[in-house]
Amino acid sequence: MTQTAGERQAPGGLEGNVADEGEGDDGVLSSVRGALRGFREAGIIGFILLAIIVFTTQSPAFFTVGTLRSVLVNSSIVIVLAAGLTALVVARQIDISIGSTVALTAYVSAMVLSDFGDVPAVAVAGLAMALGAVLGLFNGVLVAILKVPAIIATLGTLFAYRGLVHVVAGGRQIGAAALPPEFRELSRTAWLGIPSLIWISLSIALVIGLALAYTRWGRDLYAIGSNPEAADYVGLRPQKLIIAAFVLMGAVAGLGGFLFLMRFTTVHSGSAWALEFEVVAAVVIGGVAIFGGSGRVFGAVLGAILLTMLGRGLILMHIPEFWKVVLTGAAIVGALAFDGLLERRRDLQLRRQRRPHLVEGGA
Amino acid sequence: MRQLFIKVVSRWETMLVLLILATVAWSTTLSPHFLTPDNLLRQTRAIVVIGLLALGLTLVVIAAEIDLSGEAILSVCAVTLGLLFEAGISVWVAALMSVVLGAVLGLVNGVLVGILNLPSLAVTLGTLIGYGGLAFVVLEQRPISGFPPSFTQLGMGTVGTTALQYSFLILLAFVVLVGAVLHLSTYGRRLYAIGHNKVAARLSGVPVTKMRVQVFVISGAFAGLGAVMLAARFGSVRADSGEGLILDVVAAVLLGGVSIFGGVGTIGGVFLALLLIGLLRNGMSLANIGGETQSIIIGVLLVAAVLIPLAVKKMTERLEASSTDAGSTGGDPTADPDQVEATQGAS
Repeated sequence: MTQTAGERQAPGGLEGNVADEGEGDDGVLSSVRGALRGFREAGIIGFILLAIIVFTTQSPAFFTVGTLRSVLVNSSIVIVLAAGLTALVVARQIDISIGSTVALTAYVSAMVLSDFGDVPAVAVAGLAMALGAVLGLFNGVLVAILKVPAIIATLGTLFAYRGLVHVVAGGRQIGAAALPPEFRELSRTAWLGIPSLIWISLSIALVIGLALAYTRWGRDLYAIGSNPEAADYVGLRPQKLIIAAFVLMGAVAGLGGFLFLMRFTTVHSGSAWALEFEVVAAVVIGGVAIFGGSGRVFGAVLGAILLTMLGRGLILMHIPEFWKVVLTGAAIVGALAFDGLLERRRDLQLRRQRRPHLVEGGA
Repeated sequence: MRQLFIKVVSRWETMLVLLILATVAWSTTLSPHFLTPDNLLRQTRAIVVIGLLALGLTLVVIAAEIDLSGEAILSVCAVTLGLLFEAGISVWVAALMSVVLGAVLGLVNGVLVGILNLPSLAVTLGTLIGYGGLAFVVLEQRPISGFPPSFTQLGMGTVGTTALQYSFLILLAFVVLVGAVLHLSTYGRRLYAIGHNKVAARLSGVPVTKMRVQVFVISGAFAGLGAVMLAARFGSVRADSGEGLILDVVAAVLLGGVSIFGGVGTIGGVFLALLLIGLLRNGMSLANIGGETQSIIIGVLLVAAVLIPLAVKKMTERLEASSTDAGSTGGDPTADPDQVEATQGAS
């Protein structure tokens, strides 16, 4: 690793001491810092608060329950997808075919609903999830068994699945008029004053989050992500676990397709275009490390909410919506760089603790 | 003699040539006008932009990194070229600026990956999104056209009365240049060394950090040049000029035999893969296969391009293992640890 002048100066500074001693003699400040350091999502919560403050000063109408509700509704689909993607990313995998899977499952759901109007919505959702799971299984087999790197495999299926949507849909569009009236009302239903989309998305995120944190499957995914070889030596079965994570991602994307139809009641071959970018962004800025092994669904959910909030704030400030895409990209790179710099500092501190002479001398 | 025969047959490039011949045969059955020199030369312009992007990506992938942001850099450069031209600046100066801008945008990737040591996959996915949005911010959804004929001649013109395209000659020139650098110079050999083993390369005195930044700059500059050729060919630019190119570009590189794990691949292979993709798309169009279905097929090819070498490797390893059961073969000392791990995990 190359050393910069800034890093060489660090040993004399205050920062090093605070980190080394943990809750040392600096009192309140350092214990607050210590607490924040253990809490991955502190950064993103800070950004959300900052965004709320900025947008509220621009337009007081931003700070209302109505805004909160609409932000949550608007981010609900990305929340569901980001929760699914978190399970893959902690295992050092990625899926960029998400948008195509959402479009295909949404279109098939719409076909079923418009052709056989009396099918219960739950059955359609189940069908969408099953179809998505099959598409996810295909990705999983390519990656885990055939050993194609996830980015290449899912780049291929991103275009292949999108091609399938075109084959199925052609130039047609299924609109609200073709869907049964009960289905159209579904997204407007609410329980305890909270819209159905929010209930669904948050409960899915909760289930996946708990599964990752507390089940053996979840912990094993983290193990694979932080050290694949070690995971292999201790007898984990990476192939099975990774396939399962891809199937989960597919099923979740299928549900996302159903929710997409429920929310927009219109679907065509170009629907959900580039949706995967927003999902990847939500996961990365939510503190889920792309190197695998760390991060939580909670962070990814916050990431999705922050992105939606930014979009809404930009509209309030009359800034063209294209800026949201630029910010999304910048947020990914920013989050990565931030993580990388933190990692580097930690690394340097560890080395200094163990072998000071090595750090002094340079690499 | 027999060994030479086996060596030629088992080469990746031989398979590409066979696939190209098969595609040509298939296309000939579809249209009697396909197999004429004029038509073949005319079709070459379709692979110029993809080819330039693929040359840049090849260098990046040989150094064991990836650059997904090429098409977005191309869009930003195309839009900038258009706006500069609209502002009254000579289109040739604008074209030069486009290449420079591409290099600068590539430098951002290079610094993030080479100096900050961030994963290139995530970084260039981020810049793919960010730059893509930037192109729309700058130009929104209107097209810019009206470039002078002297400029569009670059993309559409032919040499004399033949059907030989200027744009194809430009691509050829860069194929030869990059091929020479990669296969004949110290720089090229160092790039392979980085792709094989970064740490070993650094310990042998290869300026790894600098070169890793450089390949991204070169890749960006090629995207900027791609923007120039695209503007010249279509006579107009839009914010989504580059959208969707990524599939053909990545497919050309991997189908060309460049290993996604780094350190392996030739420019000749990439060039053959480009020809194959161009012919295949042309053939599918002749057969009335729509653009979206074409994407399915290219997508499948992309995955197959990674799958086949892995499968071949596994098979040969099994054959070797069964012929010498004492395990004295030891395997290829230069093999990438990931690949070794991957094949072991699979068996």
